[in-house]
Amino acid sequence: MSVLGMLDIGKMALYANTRALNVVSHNIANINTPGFSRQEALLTTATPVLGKGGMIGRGVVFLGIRRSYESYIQSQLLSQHQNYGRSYSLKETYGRIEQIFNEAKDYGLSKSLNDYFNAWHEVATNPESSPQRVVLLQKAHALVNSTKKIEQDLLDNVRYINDELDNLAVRINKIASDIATLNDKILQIEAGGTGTANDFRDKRQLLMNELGELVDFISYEDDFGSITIMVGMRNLVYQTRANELSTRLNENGDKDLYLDGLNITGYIEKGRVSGLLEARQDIRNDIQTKFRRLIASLIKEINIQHRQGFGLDASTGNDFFGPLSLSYKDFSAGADITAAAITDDTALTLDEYDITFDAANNYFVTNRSTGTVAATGLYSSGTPITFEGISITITGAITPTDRFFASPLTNAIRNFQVVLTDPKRIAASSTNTELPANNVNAQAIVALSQNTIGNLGNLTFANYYRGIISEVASFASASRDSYSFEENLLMEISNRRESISGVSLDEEAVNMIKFQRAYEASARMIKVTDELLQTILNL
Amino acid sequence: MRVTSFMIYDQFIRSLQRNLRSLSDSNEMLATGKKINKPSDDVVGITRALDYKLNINLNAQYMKNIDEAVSHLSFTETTISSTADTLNRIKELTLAGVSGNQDALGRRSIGSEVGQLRDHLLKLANSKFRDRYMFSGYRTDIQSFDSSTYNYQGDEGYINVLIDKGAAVPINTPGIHIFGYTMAAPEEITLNDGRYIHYIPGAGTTINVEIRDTDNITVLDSFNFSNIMQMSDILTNALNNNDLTRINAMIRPFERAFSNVIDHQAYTGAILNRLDNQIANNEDSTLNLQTVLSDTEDIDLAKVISDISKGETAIQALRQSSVKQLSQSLFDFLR
Repeated sequence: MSVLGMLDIGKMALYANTRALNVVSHNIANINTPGFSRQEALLTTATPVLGKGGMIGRGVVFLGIRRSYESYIQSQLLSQHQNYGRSYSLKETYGRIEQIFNEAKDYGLSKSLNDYFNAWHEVATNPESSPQRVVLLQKAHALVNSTKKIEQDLLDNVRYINDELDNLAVRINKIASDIATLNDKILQIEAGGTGTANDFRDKRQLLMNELGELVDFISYEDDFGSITIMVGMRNLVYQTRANELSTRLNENGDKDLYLDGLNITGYIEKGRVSGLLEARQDIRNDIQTKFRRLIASLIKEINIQHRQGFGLDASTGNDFFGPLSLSYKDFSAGADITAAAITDDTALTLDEYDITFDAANNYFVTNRSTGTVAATGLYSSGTPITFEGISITITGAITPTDRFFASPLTNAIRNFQVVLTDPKRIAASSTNTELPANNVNAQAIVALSQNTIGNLGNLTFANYYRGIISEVASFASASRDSYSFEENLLMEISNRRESISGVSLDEEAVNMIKFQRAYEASARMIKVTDELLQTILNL
Repeated sequence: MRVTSFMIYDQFIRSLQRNLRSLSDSNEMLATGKKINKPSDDVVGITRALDYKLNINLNAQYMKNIDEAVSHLSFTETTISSTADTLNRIKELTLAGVSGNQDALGRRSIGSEVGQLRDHLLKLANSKFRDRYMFSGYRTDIQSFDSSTYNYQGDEGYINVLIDKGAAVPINTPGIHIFGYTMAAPEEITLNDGRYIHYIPGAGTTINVEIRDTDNITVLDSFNFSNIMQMSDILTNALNNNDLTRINAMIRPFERAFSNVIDHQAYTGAILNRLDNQIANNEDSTLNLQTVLSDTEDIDLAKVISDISKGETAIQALRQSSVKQLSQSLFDFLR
C-alpha cells in the first residue's frame, strides 16, 4: 500500500460524499413535491486488497441511490384512494339531493301539499262561495309548480352526474396515457440495468393514486418494470399503450362506460365513477320513482274522488288534474306498440311493467315492483293486451328477445297539470240537487289527506313523502359519515407513507453536516497525502 | 415513527379545517336558530319535525273552520232566540184572543199585531248570513220560505264543517226543523162546549187540524199548516174573523212550536259550547306541538354560543402553537 493509494481513497471519498450531498439537496428540493419518496445514497467500502499484515481498506464506494418506499403501504394507499373517491362522489351528490328536499327550511313540498288540502277545507266550509274556489285553483297550481321543480332538480342532478362521468372519462384517459408514457421511460432507463428510475416510478405511483381516486383497477408490474392497469377486466394501460375509456347513452338516456369495446359499467366498484353510478341508480330507481309514485297517486285519488262530485254548474265527471298517461319503450325490431292507454285509473297499481315473450309466442306482462306476472296469453298482433287498468296493443312480428316497457309513472310529473279552469266546476257537492251548499264531496277530498292510500303501501300522502325525505336524509348523512371515515383513513395511511417516504428537513440538515464534514476531512486527507509526498520529494 | 415536515404541515391544516368547519356549523345554527339546517343533520328529527309541523298546520286550519262555525252558529242562535221571543208574544196574544173579555174589535186589533209578528217571523226565517240563506239547508241561494205561501223551499241538508280529525259539526239547521215541528201521533182535545179538535200529523211537518162536532165524527172545519208562519197566518185570519174555535185550536200548536224552538236554541248553544271546548283543546294541542317542535329543531342558545367561543379559543391556540413549530428547523441554527 503506497502513499498514492491514500490519494485514491481521498478522491473516492470526495466523490462519494459529493454524490451523497447531491442526494440530500435533491431531497430538500423535493420536500413539497407530491408523491416524492425520500432518497438515500448507498455507500459501501471498496474491495480491500491483501497486503502485508492482512486486508487493507481502499476507501468508500458510491453504490447508487435508493428510494424509501414500501410497496405494502403503497397498495394500501391506492385502495384507500379508491374508497375515498367513491365516498366523495356519494357525499357530494347526496349533499345536493338533500338540498332539493330541504324541508328543514319550510319551503319544500309539504307546505304546498298542506296549502292545497287546506284550500279544500275552505271550499268545504264555503262551498257556494267563489273566492275560496279561486284560491283552491291557485294552490293547486302552486302544488304543481313545486312538484315540477323537485322533478326538474332531480333530473338536473342526473344530468350533472352524466356530464361528470364524461369529464372523469377524459381525466382517466389523460392519466392512462401519462402512465403509458412513464412505462416507456422506465422501460428504457431500467433496461440498461444501470439502476431504477426512482423519480419516474414516484410519478407513476402518484398517477396511479390519482387514477384510483377516480376508478378502481387491478394492476401488476411485469419483469421489465412496466405496469398493466385493468379496469372492469379490460386493459386500460398495457405496457406502453393506453386504451380509450368512452361513454355511450343507454336505454334510460344515461351514460354507460365502455372500454375496449365492452360495457364495463357494472364492473366498477370503487372510485368516484362508482360513487356517481351508485348515486344515479339510487336517484333513478328509488327517489325519483317514489316521488313520481306519490304524485301519480295524488293525481289518481283526487281525480277519482273529484269525478264523483258535482260542480256549482251541476257538471260532473270532471278531472281535477290532468289524467295519468302511459309511457312506453320499445325494444323490438319487428313489432311496435300501436296503442297504449290507461283504460281505468281506479284499477291502476301505479307500478311499471315489462312485456316479454317466449319461444311459443306467449306474452308475459311482469310487474316490476312485485315481480309477479300481471297477464299472460298467446300473442296475437293487433289484439290489445289488458291488465290492471292498462291496455296495450302491439302490432307486428315478435321474437323471444323482444321486450316492451310501460309505465304510468315516467310522465306523471312532466304531464302534471291542473285541467280544471272554471272554479264553478270544482266538485264540492255529492249530488246535483243539493247545490250550492252541499260540501260532502269536498269533505271526501279533504279526508284523502288523512286517509291511508293503498298504492302508497297504506301510508298517507304526507307520511309517504316523509318517508322519501327520511330516506334522502339517511343517504346524505350515511354518505357524509362514510366520507369523513374514508378521509381520515386516507390521511392515516398517507401519514404512514409519509413517515417512510417523506422528507424531514431536520434529518436532511444532519445529513448535510455529516456529508459536508466527511467531504472536508477527505479533502484534508488529500492535503496530508500531498504533504507526505512533498516530504518524500524533498529528501 | 418518523415524523416529517409534511406531516406537521398537514396536521396543522387538517386541525385548522376541522375547527373552522365546526365553528361554521355553530355559526349557521346561531344564524338560523335551528339545529336542523338540512335533512341529514338529524334524520329522525326532520321527520318528526315535519309531522309536528303538519299537525300544527292542520290545527290552524281546524281553528279557522271552528271560527267559521262559531260565527254561523252564533248568528243562528241569535235568530232562534229572537224567534222564541216572537212566539212567546204570539202565545200571549192567542190567550188574550180567546179570553171572554175580548170583542170582535179587540180581536181584530190583536190580529193585526199577530200579522206583524208573522211578517217578523218570515224575515227571521229568511235570514241571510254572508250572503247565504241560513235556513235553506244546502239550497243557500234560495229564500228559505216563500213570501206569500210561506212554503219551505230549502232542503234538509246540514253543512258540516270539520273541527278536528274525524269530528264535524253542522253550522246550519234546515229552517223546516226550527220553524216547523213534527208530532209523533195524532192528538185530540175537548173544548169546553163539547166539540173536539184533532191534530193529525201529515207528510213532513204538515199538521192537519180537524174541528169535530160533539159526536166526534162530523168535521165542522179543517185546515193545515206546516210552519209557524202559516200558523201565524191562520191565527191572524181567525182573529180578524173572530173565529174563536180556530183561535182555540191554535193554542196547542204554538206551545209545541215554542218548545221546539227552545230545544233548537239549547241544541245550538250546546254545539257552541262544544266548539268553545274544542278551541281550548286545539290551542292546547298546538302549544304542545310547538313545544316539542322547538325541542326538536331549535338550538340551545347558551350551548351554541359556548361552543362558538370554545371553537374560537381552540383555533387561536392552534395558530399560535403552529406558527412556532412551522417556522423552525435545524437550518435556523446552522451558521
